Amino acid sequence: MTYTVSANGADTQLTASLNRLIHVLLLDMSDLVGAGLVTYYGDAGGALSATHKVARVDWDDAMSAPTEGAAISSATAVSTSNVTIAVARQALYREVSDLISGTGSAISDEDIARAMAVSAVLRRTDMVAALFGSLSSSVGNSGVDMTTDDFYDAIFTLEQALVPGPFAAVLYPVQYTDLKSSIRGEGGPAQYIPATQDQTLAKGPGYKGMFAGVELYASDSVAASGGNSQGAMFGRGCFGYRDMSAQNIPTVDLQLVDPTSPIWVERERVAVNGETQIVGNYYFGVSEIEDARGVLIETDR
Amino acid sequence: MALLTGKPVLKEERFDATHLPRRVRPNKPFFLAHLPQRWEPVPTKVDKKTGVVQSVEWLPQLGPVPIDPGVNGVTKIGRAPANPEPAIAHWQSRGGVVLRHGDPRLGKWKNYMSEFPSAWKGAPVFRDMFTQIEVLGDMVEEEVDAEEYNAFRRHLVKEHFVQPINVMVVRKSLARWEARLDRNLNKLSANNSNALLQRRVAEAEGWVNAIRESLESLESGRKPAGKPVKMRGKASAPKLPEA
Repeated sequence: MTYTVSANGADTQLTASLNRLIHVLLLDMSDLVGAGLVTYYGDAGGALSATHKVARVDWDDAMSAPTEGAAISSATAVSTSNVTIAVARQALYREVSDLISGTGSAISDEDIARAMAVSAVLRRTDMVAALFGSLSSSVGNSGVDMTTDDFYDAIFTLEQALVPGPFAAVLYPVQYTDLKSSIRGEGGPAQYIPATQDQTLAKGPGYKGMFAGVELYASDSVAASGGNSQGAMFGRGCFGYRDMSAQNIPTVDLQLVDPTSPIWVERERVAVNGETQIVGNYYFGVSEIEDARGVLIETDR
Repeated sequence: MALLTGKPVLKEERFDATHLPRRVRPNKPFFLAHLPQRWEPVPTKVDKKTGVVQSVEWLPQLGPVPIDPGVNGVTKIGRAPANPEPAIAHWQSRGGVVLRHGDPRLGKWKNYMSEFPSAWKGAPVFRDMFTQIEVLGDMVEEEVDAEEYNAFRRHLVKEHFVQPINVMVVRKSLARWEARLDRNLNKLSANNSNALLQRRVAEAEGWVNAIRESLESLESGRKPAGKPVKMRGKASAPKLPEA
């Protein structure tokens, strides 16, 4: 038996209903810092400068064979140099009106605050990937799709430069799929090991597996230049970063903000506007530490 | 009574202006720069049937120096604009050349950076002036005017923005292509009917021959190490110690 509702639907129903489960649109959550690919050079909190010099020393001085009984002619100086890491402010701020809060929203203030960590990760991955274009060594060809040959060229470049492994390759998603296509055409044994669920949980969603002993990451943060993508392969120590915690800022309420965390999210009520502001601050800087430890992979985008 | 005449509102300024879809990540302004060891062979003659490269020219490979606070020492203190000098110094310390946007020597390629509006809440996307971005719904294709880009790079060499290529760069590239050819020939010998490998071998052979030819012409065209210096008065060769 069917029931017929004769009342006007507009009087008895919502215009639309909202699902409690919010669908998150596609985004690239690759976190090169979180995956441990970038060396940490400490907290800039209380360092008296936003700019920090990382000292580099060259111990590549083998002993010589002086004449027995004779003095060594001259002392060998220790070669040193330095690299600068400057911490700069990265931030995002959102406003939630009282009307939205008061009537209720499927996205709470807490959801917005939690998503600040996601925004910080997106930003720092962009910043790390922006360094690839400044590497001196490069492989690949402009306008030509990436192949396993380019991948091997990158490995050989690092091995010839005596870069200790393990290596990691960060590619633009198209470079990654071009590489996979090329792997399919390999005649002999090719050691592509796709990421397992455990590995993706540990290394983040950008981790795609391992090929020829190199960890593979795909990220849309990889920059474009001249119609090409500028991915990279590198060993640990190629890039380094610093951040800053809030513990030395007296006006930050450390009851609400974790004093050791570099990402601080604060809420501020602005009564005059009838809104709540949610602000995320993150002080972060990343630099190329040793150029020889990385190679640019520049192929068609 | 005054007559007011409105001005036409361009599509780019209208509410329905085309923006880049949200998947295109915004980036920061940049300088283009070149390092002495970064050159690339660009095909000048390609076999129409097979696509095999027959000859190449060497053009400087350019990379972006992002003017991005926090990246490679770029600072932003207070309300002052970002200071890119530390990142520029990083390139220069390795013998690199950074192309300043307003340099008049760049000629018609002065101000080589373009800004595109993005759907990311106003955060723009920056590309070089040779890149055009075509949008169809959420599909995006970046097209580069390769001829113009190559003409720009030739201009950099001609106007001595960058030093001429060192033959070491060509020799290294040749060695890399020869190794690539050997690897693929080796694989082909085990699987002679693999069409993909056959194509890779043909392509690699083309590159090896073209790069070898360019190396030969660079080496033959190289100037002698230097003219003997004429000494004033009576010049005499230094005496070598007797054995």
